[in-house]
Amino acid sequence: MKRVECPECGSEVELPADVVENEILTCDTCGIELEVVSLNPLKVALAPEEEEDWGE
Amino acid sequence: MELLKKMLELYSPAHCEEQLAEFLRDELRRWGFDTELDDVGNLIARIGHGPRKVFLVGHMDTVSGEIPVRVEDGKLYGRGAVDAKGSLAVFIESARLFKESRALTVWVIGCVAEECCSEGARHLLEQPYRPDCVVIGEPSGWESVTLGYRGSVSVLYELKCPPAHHGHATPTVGEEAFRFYQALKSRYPAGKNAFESVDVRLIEIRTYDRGLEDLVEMTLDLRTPLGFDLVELKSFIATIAPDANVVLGDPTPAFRADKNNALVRAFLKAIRAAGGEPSFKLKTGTSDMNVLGPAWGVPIVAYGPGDSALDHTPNEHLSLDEYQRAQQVLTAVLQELSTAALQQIQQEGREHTR
Repeated sequence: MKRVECPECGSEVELPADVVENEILTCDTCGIELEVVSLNPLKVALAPEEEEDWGE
Repeated sequence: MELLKKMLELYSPAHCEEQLAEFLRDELRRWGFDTELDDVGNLIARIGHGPRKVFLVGHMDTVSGEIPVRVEDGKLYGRGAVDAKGSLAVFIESARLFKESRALTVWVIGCVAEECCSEGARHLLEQPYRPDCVVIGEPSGWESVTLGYRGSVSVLYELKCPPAHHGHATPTVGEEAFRFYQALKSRYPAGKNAFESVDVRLIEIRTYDRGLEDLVEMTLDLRTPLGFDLVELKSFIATIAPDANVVLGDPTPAFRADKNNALVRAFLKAIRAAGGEPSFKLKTGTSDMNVLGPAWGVPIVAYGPGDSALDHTPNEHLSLDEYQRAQQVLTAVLQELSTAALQQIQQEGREHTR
């Protein structure tokens, strides 16, 4: 089982065996969204923010 | 950006796209695309020979208000530079690089009449098109990917009353209409997040003195969030305006796309590779994604160069740097999708020969 540390709350996050680069996951402990930014070495970061924007 | 400049010079407000459509049909044919104009005037252009179909769906029409086309300080000015000929030009320039692709067929579609009723997009749904993924051409800025749009529904209010002297306390028809507008504004107060809130906008109000009758006609535009309760709106209107004739237009529901799929991942990777810091956008307007997203049910985002704060403004312009970066990102996205498709095709081939 692949595991990484949540950069927000520090708890351990389990990753699926078939995890892919740029996949977005949720930390079960704090609920924040994480993005797998690298597979080798395995590294996650906070997922891109969602911004509201006017227009089309 | 010569292509985009030419596209801007062919002024094309909604329902006047014919000249631009014919130019693109002929120009893209010279570039190696298979091109045609469909029954409503949409540009349909295809390039590549692969089994995976990537649809790049922009629109050819703009809002009205012609802006002289010019380049100043690295910015291209013109109606539609941002909304959304810039996106359509990026689609074309990136797609042309996949002429020899055996993995992808890239469809570049220029819809008509997005700005008024999404007529072109609705027509696409009547065709047997089955894309594997879709990019809608709207300005997100080169570092961002748009995941969703609010919906909309128009409210047409009409009230007739016998005239009263203006010295009398009886409200005028105009005041009654404005009271209706205010009641809706109060029913749907602004929330913390605009994407999750209803926005009530007064678009037009006219009063008429017809001698024995006063008349008011008012048009409101409601921008609506996901899960908006249309039945509850109708019930509320019946309560606050029992004497008025109120008609709701054909509603366009809000839409929010999934962000955990190969298409979104390809964008995140490509934006970072180009030196950007990706973000997601949720738009308070509407686009053809509202029509095509729920119907096609495949991975979909909106992407394109430009600052949407310039949409519909007399100052509409696009920076050349922004345009080039968006093109770089989209080309990398198509390359990523092509590589993944090729691997999948090879895998399927190996399984077939076993």
